[in-house]
Amino acid sequence: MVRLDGAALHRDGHRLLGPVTLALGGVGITAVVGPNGSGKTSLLRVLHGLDKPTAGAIFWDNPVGAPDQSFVFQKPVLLRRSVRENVALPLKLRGNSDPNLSDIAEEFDLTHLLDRPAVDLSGGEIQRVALARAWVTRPRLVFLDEPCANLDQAATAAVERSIAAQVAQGARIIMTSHSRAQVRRLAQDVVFVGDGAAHGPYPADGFFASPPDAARTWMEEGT
Amino acid sequence: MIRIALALAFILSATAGAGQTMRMAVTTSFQNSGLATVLLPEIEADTQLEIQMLVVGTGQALRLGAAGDVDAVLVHAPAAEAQQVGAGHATHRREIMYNDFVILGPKSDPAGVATATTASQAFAALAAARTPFASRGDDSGTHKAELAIWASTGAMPQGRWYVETGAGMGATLNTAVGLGAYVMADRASWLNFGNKADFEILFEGDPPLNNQYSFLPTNPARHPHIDAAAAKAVEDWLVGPKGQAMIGAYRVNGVQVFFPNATAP
Amino acid sequence: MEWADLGEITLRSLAVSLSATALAAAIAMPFGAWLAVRPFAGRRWAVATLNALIGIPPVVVGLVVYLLLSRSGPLGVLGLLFTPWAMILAQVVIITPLIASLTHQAMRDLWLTYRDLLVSLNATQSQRLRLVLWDGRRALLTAALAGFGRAIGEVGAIMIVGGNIDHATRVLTTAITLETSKGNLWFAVTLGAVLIVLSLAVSLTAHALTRTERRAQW
Repeated sequence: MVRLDGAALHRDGHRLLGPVTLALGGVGITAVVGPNGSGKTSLLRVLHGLDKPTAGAIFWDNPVGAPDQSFVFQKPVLLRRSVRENVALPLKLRGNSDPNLSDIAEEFDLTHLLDRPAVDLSGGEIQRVALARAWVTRPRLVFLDEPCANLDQAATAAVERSIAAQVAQGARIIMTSHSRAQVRRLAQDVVFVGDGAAHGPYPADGFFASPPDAARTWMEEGT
Repeated sequence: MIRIALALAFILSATAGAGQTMRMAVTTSFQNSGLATVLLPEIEADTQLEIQMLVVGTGQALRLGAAGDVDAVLVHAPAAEAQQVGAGHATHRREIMYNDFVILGPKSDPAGVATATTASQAFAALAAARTPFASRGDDSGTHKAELAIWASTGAMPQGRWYVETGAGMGATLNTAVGLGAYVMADRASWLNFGNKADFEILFEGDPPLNNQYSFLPTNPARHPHIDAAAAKAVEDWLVGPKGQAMIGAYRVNGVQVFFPNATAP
Repeated sequence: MEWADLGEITLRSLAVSLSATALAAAIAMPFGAWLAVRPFAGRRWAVATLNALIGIPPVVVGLVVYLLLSRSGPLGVLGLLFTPWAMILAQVVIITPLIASLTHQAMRDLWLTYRDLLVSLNATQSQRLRLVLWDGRRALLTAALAGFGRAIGEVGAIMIVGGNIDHATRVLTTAITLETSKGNLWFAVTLGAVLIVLSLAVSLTAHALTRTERRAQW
């Protein structure tokens, strides 16, 4: 689906990513893993088009247009408005002034929260609003940056269920996660990012059974 | 919201709509004397004009007239007035009345001004004593008159004791009282002034202290939008029997301060 | 000036400065937000210029507006000199940079929070502007009130372009100057107190109006 060829990202003289050479297929869930600060988020941002690579190139062989993509940020940004306004935002920006949100609200268990100010929500609720907002346009490609950071077990389980449900409907997901257990549960393949360079993708089973050299230290440190 | 906007528009335009308007720049001394407040309603009633008075220094008043921003000016600086007419900014200069200047200072009179026999002598005593003196310094009629008296002493004032406020009569009086400085002011402004402290009139009555007021209509040939008829109506009122009588009858604390002296055209 | 005129003068102060604030806000807020949202190289210069303009002495603004509106000036035919409209114009010039700068600052913070989301969602330039302006409306209110405070307390410019004409262009600040020049210091101070109460009343009213609409911290 997409290929990075020596892509790198620099800002203010610091190297945030790369150079990365990597090819990703068109289905399922890819997990991007690696130590903190290794460039996982930058890789997702470059793929989504939020940051333009300062070196190298990015090739799509079956381009996914911007309207068919979504991005859920590690720290979700909710507008200072009601939950309804937040979830409806992507549709309103496309000119649908009064979208029907009942299905998506049901799907993310938000029906009872729709008219609450977003600022009142708990961490898990905020994450569900961010996910609902990402999925309300039924995108083909979704980027999730640590979707379950700071969530408790129950909230994590709910988020994982909704991710799985979207994949079942044909969505392609590229996500980062610091939880090895979550990667095992969800991902078909794994990309390891260490010190800006990317390795993989590896099939998830193989990655955990015999980690590649680059990822061995990271595997031994974590849980 | 619309109602608020309408209310605002009403307040802003309420004064502009009614009747014909005549704009006149007058000097601060005319306004601060209180005479303007007495004459204005009568002029408005008799001429059916709404008169808008701009209170400024003589210098600024003459410039407003030259720019065509007022229909007429009422000022007191004969030399500058002659220039204004000569330059074609005003059609003519009409003498209306005069008042007089007085020299004020702290009751203790450290410079001994009270014993002088002429204004020139009084100023010379001030320069010799180098006691503080507050000057308008704003190119106003009062300022010009003060400078003329300094010139008559043979030496212009110089030094830290000579304070130029660059402000109107009232502000300069406030400064003088605050500094304990001598000051020259028109009698009417002084009598009406509310912040006298221990100051009093130390010298008065010398002819160079007389202060002639004149009316100068703006030249409509230069500024076609000028309401020459309105300016003429106000001029006629001021030099007419009623205007002259009211000027002569005006009293501040029982003292006559303006002396009508209009002549036939 | 009589006590009876106090109401009229107070109302005129309010009308002139509220009108000036509304006009200045209509110019400054979209411009300030646009500066915050639009990435362009000259932004720092534009903001520095804006901040420098805040410091322009009102008297200079008054002089420039006078020269423009004078019968001998380019806009003299409009006949606006020595009317409340001239005072409004001068106040608009004085407070527009202040409101624009405060708007830019608030919108910049909000935009840095919203940027990734709105870029990710492909929001157009005008959609971005409207979103940050609406979501930052409490900060905008503060900016407008700062502008109003500066407008209603200003005297140098409106003295020149308004002329302090009784029953036409006299407002609280020019009346204070006049009474001070007459040596009526206590009356002048009383007028000053009215001015402060008026500013306070406008500020409290504005905050009350928005607080009933939404929660306080927004």
